[in-house]
Amino acid sequence: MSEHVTHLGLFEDAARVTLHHPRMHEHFKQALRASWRAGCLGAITRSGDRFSIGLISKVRQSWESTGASRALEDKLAFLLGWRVHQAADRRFKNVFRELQPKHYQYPNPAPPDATVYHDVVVFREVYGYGRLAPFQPAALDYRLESNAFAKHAEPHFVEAILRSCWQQTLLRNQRFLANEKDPTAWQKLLEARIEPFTVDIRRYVDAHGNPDPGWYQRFIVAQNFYNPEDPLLRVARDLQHGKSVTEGVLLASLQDVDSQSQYAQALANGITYIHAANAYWNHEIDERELGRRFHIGSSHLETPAKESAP
Amino acid sequence: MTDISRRDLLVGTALWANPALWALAEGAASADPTFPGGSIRPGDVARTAMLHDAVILTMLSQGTPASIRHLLALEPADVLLGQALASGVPAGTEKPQPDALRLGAKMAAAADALLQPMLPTNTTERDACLLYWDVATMLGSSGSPGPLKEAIPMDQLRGFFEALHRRLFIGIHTLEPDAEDIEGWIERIVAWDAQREGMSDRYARALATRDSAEWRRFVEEAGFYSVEDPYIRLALAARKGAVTSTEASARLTASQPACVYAKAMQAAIRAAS
Repeated sequence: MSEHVTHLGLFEDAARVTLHHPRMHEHFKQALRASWRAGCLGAITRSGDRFSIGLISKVRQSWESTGASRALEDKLAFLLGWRVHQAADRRFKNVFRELQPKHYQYPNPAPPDATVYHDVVVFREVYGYGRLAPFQPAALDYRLESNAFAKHAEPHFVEAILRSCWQQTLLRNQRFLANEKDPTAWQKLLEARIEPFTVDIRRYVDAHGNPDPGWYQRFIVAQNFYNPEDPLLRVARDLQHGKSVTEGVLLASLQDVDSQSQYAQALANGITYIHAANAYWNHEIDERELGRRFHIGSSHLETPAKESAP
Repeated sequence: MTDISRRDLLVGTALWANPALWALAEGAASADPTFPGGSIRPGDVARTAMLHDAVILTMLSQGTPASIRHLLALEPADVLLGQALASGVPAGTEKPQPDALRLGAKMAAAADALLQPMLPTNTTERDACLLYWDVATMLGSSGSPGPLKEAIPMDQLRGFFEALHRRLFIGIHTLEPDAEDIEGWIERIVAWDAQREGMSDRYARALATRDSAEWRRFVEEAGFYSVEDPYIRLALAARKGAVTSTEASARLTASQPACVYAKAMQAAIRAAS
């Protein structure tokens, strides 16, 4: 299970740190500046462990042979987002399972409430209650009441129609629709690739506007999910709001992350993955070592071996 | 809090646009011209809403054969998927059910036959026409005849759609990549995202232009959508669950649609029966 707002917040924070990190390759910064949105998409995409090594290998080879292009920038930014997604999963999946194990027992596919509470905290702390892009304050209003246009259309109907348009178009981006000729295989792919909308937005509306005090205490406070006073999160917010951060402060914030909040730890893990990609991009490590540093093959429920960010 | 019910999920997933109409929209989503992929385009909202209404009223109508009603109730997703996938479904698939797929394709084709001749032949005008059909459909969802009577800031107009898109991102949790073509899929999903956001801007601009020649030509003069149309009124009530099967059946037979949207809806309903 993953959650959209937290994954997006972590990627954008990791990307901002990367842009200001003295040891990150200029190509990474170039890709993030040009293709931020592609990175955001990578941050909310499944299966990153399966494809990361092959993708960065091909992108690096193409970049070195033909030079930069927008398509390569998109793919590199997407890859960085994909790694931050995996870092978040490795930090939080075991937390969710411990907090609400019933949500992982078949056949209950509903995401745990802790994921919803994580998201509304990030919505508040990173995205200013939705005032900051790409969010909107009305996104977590039940009927988008705070939006001036919402009373002129039926928002739930428009949402349902757009939802259908999304599923139609996302599915049409899958090649199996045209290429797979075996009926059984086609059917299995259809069921696997169709995007189900499994999260009821009312859970978010409730958690945002009327949070359960017990759940908030249990999922957020007791877990130390997010602490705005964490050195790394202060750096992330300063960078987000255009304040200057010295190199020394930035590097220091990446030390001793175990004493910081879960969000800060996930962010540091994401930056560590980007450092691993950076080392590979610089030909300092081979694919095998990159796979080890990406923790490819290790379960998301295991605590990965510690790698400190340079 | 429970998860979304199966029915809600299916209704949400289901209302697929007609592939014949997709081809009317211009532009490829991908750098690979042999596989253009999919992006949200002008006209998607209007025709998806129309098919949505047609399916609901077909289910409510007592004139619909029992086998069809059963099929719609049992496998609405398969029926509606058929609108989009019928041409691409390999022979021999056991599920989605061939009957359901055929039904969806049949309903969409009937509506398409009525809608296509209404579209301008000029590419730019056709694109504008489809966009204003979308806008009229969205305004009509609240029972408003449109266009907007009051000035609403662009950031609020655009923000309405971006808020909905962000809710949809939350709803799907994560994107499922095309495992057989990762690099191509990244290109396509980047294009999809840009087009998705671009549509928010286009909807907002069309809504903000409250006295436009396009609205008069493509909506009013073409008679595309009218909240006074008896079929539209019935569909609006049916969306809220505020009409019984008996009442829906009586109103479907006692009245005739007048606007294009309603006529296309009627054609789809008749095709199902």
